[in-house]
Amino acid sequence: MIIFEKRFIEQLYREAQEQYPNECCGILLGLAAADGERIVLQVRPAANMSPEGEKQKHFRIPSEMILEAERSAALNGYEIIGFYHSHPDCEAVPSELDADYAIEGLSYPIISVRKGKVKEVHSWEMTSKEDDRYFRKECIEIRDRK
Amino acid sequence: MAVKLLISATLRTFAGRKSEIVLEGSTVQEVLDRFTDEYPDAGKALFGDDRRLRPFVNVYVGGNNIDALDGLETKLEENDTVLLVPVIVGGAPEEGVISEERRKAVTLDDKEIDRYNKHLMLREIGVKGQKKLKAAKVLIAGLGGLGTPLVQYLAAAGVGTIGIVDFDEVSLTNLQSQVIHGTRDVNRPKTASAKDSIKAINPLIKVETYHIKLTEENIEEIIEDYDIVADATDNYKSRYLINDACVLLGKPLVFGAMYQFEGQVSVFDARRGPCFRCQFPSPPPKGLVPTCAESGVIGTLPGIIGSIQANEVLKLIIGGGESLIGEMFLFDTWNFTGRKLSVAKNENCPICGKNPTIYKIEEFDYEDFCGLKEDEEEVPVEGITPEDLADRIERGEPLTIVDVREPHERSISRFPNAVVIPIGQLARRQNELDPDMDTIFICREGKRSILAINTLREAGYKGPMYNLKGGMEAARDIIFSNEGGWL
Repeated sequence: MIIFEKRFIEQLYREAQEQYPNECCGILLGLAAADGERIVLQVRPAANMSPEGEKQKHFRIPSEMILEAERSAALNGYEIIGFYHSHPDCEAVPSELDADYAIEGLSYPIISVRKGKVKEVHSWEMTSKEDDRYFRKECIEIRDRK
Repeated sequence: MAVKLLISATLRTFAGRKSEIVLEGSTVQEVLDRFTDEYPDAGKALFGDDRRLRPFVNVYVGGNNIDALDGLETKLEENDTVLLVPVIVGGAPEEGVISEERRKAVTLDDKEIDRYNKHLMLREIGVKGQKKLKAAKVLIAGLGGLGTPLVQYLAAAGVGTIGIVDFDEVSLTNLQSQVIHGTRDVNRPKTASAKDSIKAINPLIKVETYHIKLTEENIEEIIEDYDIVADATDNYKSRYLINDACVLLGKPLVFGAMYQFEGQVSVFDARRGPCFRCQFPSPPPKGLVPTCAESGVIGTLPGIIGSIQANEVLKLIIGGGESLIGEMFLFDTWNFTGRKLSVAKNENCPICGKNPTIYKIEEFDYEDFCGLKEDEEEVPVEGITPEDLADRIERGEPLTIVDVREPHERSISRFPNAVVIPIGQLARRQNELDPDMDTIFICREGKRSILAINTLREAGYKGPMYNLKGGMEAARDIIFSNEGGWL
């Protein structure tokens, strides 16, 4: 399960709509509990580093950005708990490419944007069973700020 | 030698949450082998079945990505640091037209697995793609040249339901290119003959036949049930009608057209790109662009163009690949040249633009739009039947006969003693005609000759003009029944 404060999930929606028709992407920082529950405490949008002309269908977050996010997270006692991105005019289901690049134990929320408006969001967790790696849909909990 | 392995926080769960480990090894490969021996979880998470690093793992040695060095064979020195850090890449999946639910609702039996084996071998298609094909419903509009390969390849590929529409019967002239129909099918409905072909190729396919003309009244009801429509018709009214119904019902349309040695293919899907009207806002003037029946076509061309259409249909169903959405492929078989043009979406398109004016098929006058209606304000063109013309020729009445057909048409059937003037030269050459004499205009079907008469009228010609009704087609058995010298 992944837990968002309302303002964070709204930040994701806003970004997905602003970047439309390109894919938006970014890093989620927060805390992960041993039972697999992850709570988002900071959203770090990342510039989509896919080549020009491919951004409508692809996104790329380079290693340097991830290392930098890790360092800044560590200063707050947070860690990287997932990576989000949008699917313009496409369902909120991971592609094969998404799966190839997914790290086990992290959350991958995908925001479906149709005609510039957010349609839905689903979060996916990469898991493995024996030698098989696969995405499992995980529950998203949205909390009002306390 | 001892090197330090630094692990990105995102990958630490697989390494006992350690951020750095000291390991022995003289190459990156050796260090990673030690690492996965010590931490088997990391072996599974970071390496694939083929023992290769998963694509998301980047390895740096002293700040350089090993891809820019010698890869896993990169040599290490004492106290080097090796860094493991992810890169995240992703993308939207290609959405085929078949939903996951529908795909999952079908199964393939042993015979089908055998039959479609060569599809199953392709990573891009596989079992998933083949099931999508089985779940798919495709309508083929027109069972002539282009409809031929569409019928054959879609049936053979295992498209589960194929709808076929054509109002016509098979004629002898069809057989030169429409190879789904055989000599013994002449005079049978094309739908019946095409259905037999499909069943012979693949009895597992469900076939729906519509032995009717597509009209404003029936088109939506017919195409509603299908996922994709392939336009294999040969006239503008059908093309606009099919396009508009597809836009309004949200269906992708795989378009193909031909002229003599040249063909064109495009995929129109107004939800993702332009529609047929964006590319062709209005049809050419009536009679200007002849159909294949009027202008001829090389027998192999429909095989090529229709096969490309079939290929586009398969890709739309399976999802993936590059489709011809927003592009038009042109192929010239005679000069062997091909090119792709981009087709832009027209913001002012009356059906898929920002402020559409066409909402209902029934409310749009396709006959009028395509110039098929007699213009009420226009002075009607007087006609003469082939029988009357034959009588007048027989009696030796003074007449001028003007043949407006193209040279290739005249070479098949010559009209004796006719003056040959192409439509484009009529206005300029009107002084060659005697305005005191009755002038008869002839073409192949009696349509372009009407255009010719109207052109001359507009140019100010005052003499009496008559149109040979039904053209040479209608006249051949009456006027020339004794001539015998057809070619």
